[in-house]
Amino acid sequence: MPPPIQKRVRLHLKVLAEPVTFPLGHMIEAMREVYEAKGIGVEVASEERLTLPQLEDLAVGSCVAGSLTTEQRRLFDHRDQAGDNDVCVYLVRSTVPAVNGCAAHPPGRPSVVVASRATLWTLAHEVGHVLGLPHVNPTDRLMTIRTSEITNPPPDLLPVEVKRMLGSPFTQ
Amino acid sequence: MNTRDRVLRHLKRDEPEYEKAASALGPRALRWLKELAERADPLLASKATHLATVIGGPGAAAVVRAAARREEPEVRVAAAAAMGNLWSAETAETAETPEAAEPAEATTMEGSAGVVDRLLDDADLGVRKYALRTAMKMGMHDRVDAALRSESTEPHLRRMIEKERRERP
Repeated sequence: MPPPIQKRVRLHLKVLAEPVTFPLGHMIEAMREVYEAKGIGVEVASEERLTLPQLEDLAVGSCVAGSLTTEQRRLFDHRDQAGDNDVCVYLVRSTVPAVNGCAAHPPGRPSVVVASRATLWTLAHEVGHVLGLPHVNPTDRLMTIRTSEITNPPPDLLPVEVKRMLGSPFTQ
Repeated sequence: MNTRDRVLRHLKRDEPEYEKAASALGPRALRWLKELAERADPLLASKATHLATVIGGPGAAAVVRAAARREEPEVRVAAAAAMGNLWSAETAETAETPEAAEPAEATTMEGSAGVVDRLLDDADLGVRKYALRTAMKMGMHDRVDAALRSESTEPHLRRMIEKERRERP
């Protein structure tokens, strides 16, 4: 019996390029499996196709919040109806340099980028960063540095991680 | 752990730390990076391509050439972007690494320009975007002009590159 939902993270899915390795629906379900087991709901508030071919292969630089690229800033302007504490998820074909995903975002615009060949768990992992979680080493946890090598899926969130997520302004 | 396994451990991270990986692995990783650029899944191949050019040196050029030949456009995107890093690395390091894995066509600016020149005519918009940026970085002004004048260059790509060109120092 899963615990009652205490708070939710609201996602706005912005699809520039369809995921290749795992369908988007599977990534969402995988995220729900991890988050909702800890009382954090995952709500898909909107989904839209963004026709921005010049940003499908997104320059993410060092993927650090304080040094966003011009392309990241341009992409993150596309929030449409997303509230200030809603998380926008931009699905791109690839990033330069190549990463599975990147959670660097400007203040007040919580966002993640997920590459089309990311793993099943990359979306949940990157949103975890937005909610304040750092990387960890154990391979049975969501925030492991290699989500392609997660053992014993679904990966775990520790109570201290859940507490931090629930304390984030981006869970509502 | 052997070099190949160490390379994979770095590149299988969701967010590889390229500078740290380059420092930890050094030029001996390049032969494995070339293998990955040739045969690995596109995401891993793209990561390998970028890492090779952070390491730099003549062996890195062979990695980029392999990536530039891949069928999957996102790997060619990585090659087009990484060529800019490689060109910078070449100018600094070519003379210092005569023992590198494979003396390569693209170890000179002329060779790099040849790879970029081909990528500027790629069918894929993303590849051409990064090839244009690299061509600007390499000072291939006539070739950039020709690409921007071409009717096959999408208007939004032309506007983006022209703006970046105006803003270059």
